[in-house]
Amino acid sequence: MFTEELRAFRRLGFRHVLLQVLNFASVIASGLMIWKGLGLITNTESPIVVVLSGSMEPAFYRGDLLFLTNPASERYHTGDITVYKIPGADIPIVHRVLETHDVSKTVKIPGLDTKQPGDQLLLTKGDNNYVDDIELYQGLDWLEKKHIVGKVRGHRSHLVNIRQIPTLRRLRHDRDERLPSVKIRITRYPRPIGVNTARIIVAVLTRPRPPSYLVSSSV
Amino acid sequence: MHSLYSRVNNLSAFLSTCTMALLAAIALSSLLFNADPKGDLSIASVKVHPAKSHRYPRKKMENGFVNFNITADLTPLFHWNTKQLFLYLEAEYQNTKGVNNSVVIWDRIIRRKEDAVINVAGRNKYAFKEISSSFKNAPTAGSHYSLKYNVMPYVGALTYGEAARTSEPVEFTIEAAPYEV
Repeated sequence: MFTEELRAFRRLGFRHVLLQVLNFASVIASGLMIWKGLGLITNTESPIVVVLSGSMEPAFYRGDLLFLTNPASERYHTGDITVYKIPGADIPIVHRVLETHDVSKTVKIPGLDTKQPGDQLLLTKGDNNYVDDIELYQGLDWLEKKHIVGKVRGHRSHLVNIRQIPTLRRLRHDRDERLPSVKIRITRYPRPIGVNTARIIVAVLTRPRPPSYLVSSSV
Repeated sequence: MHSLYSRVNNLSAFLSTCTMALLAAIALSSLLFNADPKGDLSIASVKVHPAKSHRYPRKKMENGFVNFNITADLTPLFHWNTKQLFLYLEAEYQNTKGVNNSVVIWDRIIRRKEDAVINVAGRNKYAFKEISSSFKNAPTAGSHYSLKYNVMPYVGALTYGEAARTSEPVEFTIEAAPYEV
């Protein structure tokens, strides 16, 4: 397969190969642009995240995609599902808000600095956990706006059942023995773009003839 | 041109485009279902007992115990894109320090339409605590309670609604003795 490709490249010359490289780079760059652009619009570092563990079952299973937003003026309410990252923890967690405490006057909350009007203190809990997340906060008593990566706005169930994949079954077993906490992986390239990018790359590389806008007269 | 490879490539491209279009159509179709069912919520009693803090053993604190009754028919919320309902009961009040509190005290996950007729007489599942550690800072009028739900779809946007709310705030009854099980 590749010998034929190589012969085709040789026939088309160096400039054509450069153009192919450019094409390739633009596909990758556009993927990155869409990702970063989405992040800019939604004001979150990762607008699409993948669920890695089972503490929000049956709402979210492993492999589900979540769409996040986090506008600067966002207020969180009970029942909202938030993704938060505790300083020092390496993996963000997606759990539901159990309590909100909105400060409207300057007030001293036990264990915290003086809170200003507009500040919000949150407590979360995974749907599949029996108790709230206070043990996961690594010493904090409350979550605050600065810890929140985003609020879950939309959801797409996993298309492939990850629980059926044998290598991950061990992880699931681990999960059953400990208190589960939903962990998510921040994907630099979300899966849909990855698949599409791969598809486009395959299409470009295996194109049987050079596109008409490249070489119209020489071949 | 018409190699097996290009055929497979075209077919998979077409299938994934179709899947995406179908998912988008399903997500949009659930916007057409805008049922807003209402139910009844009554609070039988709200008692506050002194308790021990698990986290800070020497700190004094209080726990609220809420007895409530809920009747609601939430079957209209189930349509083809409803994966589950998350139903929750919350207390809302502003304490004298100027903190607006909303605290979920009970919840239930409803996964089937057959389970969506709710008839519950229960007590709070989660600890009901005041952020200043004493309900003396809670308003004398008491707290409002509301029954809310979150409709979670297979694909698409999460939606929220309120099924019931107390018309009058319910007072906290402060008890001197710890809660006896």
